[in-house]
Amino acid sequence: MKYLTFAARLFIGGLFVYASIHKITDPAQFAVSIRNYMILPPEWSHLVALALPWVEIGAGAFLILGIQTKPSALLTTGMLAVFLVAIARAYATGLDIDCGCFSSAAASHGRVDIYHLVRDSLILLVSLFVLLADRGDFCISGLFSLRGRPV
Amino acid sequence: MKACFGVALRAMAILLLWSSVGISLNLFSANAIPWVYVPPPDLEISGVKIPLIDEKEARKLLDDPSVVFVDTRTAKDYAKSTVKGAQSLPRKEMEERFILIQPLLPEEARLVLFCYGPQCEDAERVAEFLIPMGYRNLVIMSPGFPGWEKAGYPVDSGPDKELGGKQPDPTSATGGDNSGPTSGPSTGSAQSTRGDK
Repeated sequence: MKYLTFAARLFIGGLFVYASIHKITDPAQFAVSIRNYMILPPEWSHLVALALPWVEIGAGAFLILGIQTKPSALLTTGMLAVFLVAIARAYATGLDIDCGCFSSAAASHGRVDIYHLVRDSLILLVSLFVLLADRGDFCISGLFSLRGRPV
Repeated sequence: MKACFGVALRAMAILLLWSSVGISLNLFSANAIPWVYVPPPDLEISGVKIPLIDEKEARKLLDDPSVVFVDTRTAKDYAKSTVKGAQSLPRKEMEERFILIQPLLPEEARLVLFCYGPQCEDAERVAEFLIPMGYRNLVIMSPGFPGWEKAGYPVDSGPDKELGGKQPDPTSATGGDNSGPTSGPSTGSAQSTRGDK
């Protein structure tokens, strides 16, 4: 079980690190993606576009390295839940936008559809699994903890 | 319960930490953006509100069949290169040219007008011309064709070949010395169009 949890942790961590890279390199484009969802007030889009990718890369890196795994898994699960709601809302209201998940809005041409909903739901389940099942195996913090107790 | 609260608290700390990192690093980034987004103001011409959009937002409209891009630059510049699928309606030849391309511009379509950039008013002048014709769904792409081209978005090279002989007098489009009224027939040039703000 611990190997499965470890694999799931690496998967979610790697996915978040990968997804954050294009957002960090082109925050203006990511801000456009955020505005397209028409959920947040447009004025907030830049602030979210600057902060969110770093939370993604931070939480993802922590999951990979096994630092603060529970809080990091809680963050990834929370973010995925928010993304799922946003995609579902865009799909339900017929917004013709791309999801902006793994590539910039300008680079991708596919509009949000049922595929994105299913994909995000599955990733959310894996992240939830990590949050609930992780017992701190294969954690850097466990290796160096004086108490020898995983985080 | 206490453990759950502890996890949530640490998650909040991680959220704040990395958010601060991202927002702070923006100050030193080559791709820095303002912390607060200020939407471009809408234009209002003849009582019709015309949103100003950037090239990224315009790119999202390119594949929409109900959207027509309208190049308001000179016919010469249009002939060199333009937004993929765009129709030519040069500011200084718009009356003659409009007759030719009117069938391609349904009144219910959303027209994305563009010219040379934010400093250029050709798109606004063409909008002023189109509104009395019944067009209400107009948008102006502020960065114009230079912004579009710089972003690497799809372009057509030599798009007006199909209109060939229907092009207005080429001398009017290839430059020259006239600088008449903007609505006058076959007047203007690339330079005068760009510069007569």
